[in-house]
Amino acid sequence: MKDEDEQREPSEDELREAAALADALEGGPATPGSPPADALEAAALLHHARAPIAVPPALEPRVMAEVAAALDARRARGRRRARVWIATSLIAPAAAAAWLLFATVPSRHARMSAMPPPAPTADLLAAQAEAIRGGGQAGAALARLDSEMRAYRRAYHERLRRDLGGEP
Amino acid sequence: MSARALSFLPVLALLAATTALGCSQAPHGGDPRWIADAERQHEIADERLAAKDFVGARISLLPIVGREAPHDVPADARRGVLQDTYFRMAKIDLDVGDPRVALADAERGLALGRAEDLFVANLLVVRGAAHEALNDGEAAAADYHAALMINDRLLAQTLRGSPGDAAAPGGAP
Repeated sequence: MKDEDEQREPSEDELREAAALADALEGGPATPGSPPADALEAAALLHHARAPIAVPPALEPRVMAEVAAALDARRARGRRRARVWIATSLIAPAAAAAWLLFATVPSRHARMSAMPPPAPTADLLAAQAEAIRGGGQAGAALARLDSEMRAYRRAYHERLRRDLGGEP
Repeated sequence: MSARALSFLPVLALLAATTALGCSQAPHGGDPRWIADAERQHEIADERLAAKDFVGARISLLPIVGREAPHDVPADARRGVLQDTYFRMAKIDLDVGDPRVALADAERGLALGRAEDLFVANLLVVRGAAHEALNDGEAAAADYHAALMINDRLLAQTLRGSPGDAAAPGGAP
């Protein structure tokens, strides 16, 4: 049945309608022997779909204003997104670095501050007590204190260097 | 700013953060150097004093107090090193018969801060001696008394073997 329809030669009317429909789709002048109304509607729709939107001149200012506002809003959204992106990309690593900086350096200093100097020896404290007496022997007592301080000083410096990460 | 430039921002920010972190984790080169410099200056002072060169000894100590200590040295360590140096300078001032300069050195040392430790006690002792040399018995007595209070406490701690305090080598605890 289908094969028969395809093999059948088109009639004159069918050829005329097809030519009129082709003209209507191309937007050309109407040809005699007009196509059926439904075919013309379909052709008009297809034609308008391809054609640019035409704005009536009377509505142009209003449409332009609305389009400009919409474009401005779109640009503003884009700028806001860019600002958020820039701020996030800067703040997040900076915050991480700051946290690590403050979490590690002060704790090392706290460890250092919490570490008292070496305990003075009893001999050193005895020399200091002798110097505290003052009086005529103050010079000799101070000399002994100074002498005792040398060993203590060496130990103190050595400990500080070690705690600060220097060579022992 | 273009999207292409924007895409580089996180990379740059991460690089900066990594650099900052690296700097914070790196050994603080200045700290041990400052201590080592002070140690060397004290050794030079020892040599000068052994040669009875008091002026040379005092001059060798000046760089320690003349230079600004690095800020990353803990405050207590900085105070300890500087106060000990001022004590030594004041002692040399007394040795050369200049109690006024000794007094000034002791004052500078004590102005760095007070604590109940050996360094402050030494400065009080040497300031008391300077007052004594200047015939200011009352001020000398006040300094000696304050020094004695600290000395007494330190002695009690040493005899008790207070925690965290390792005895300095070269002497009995």
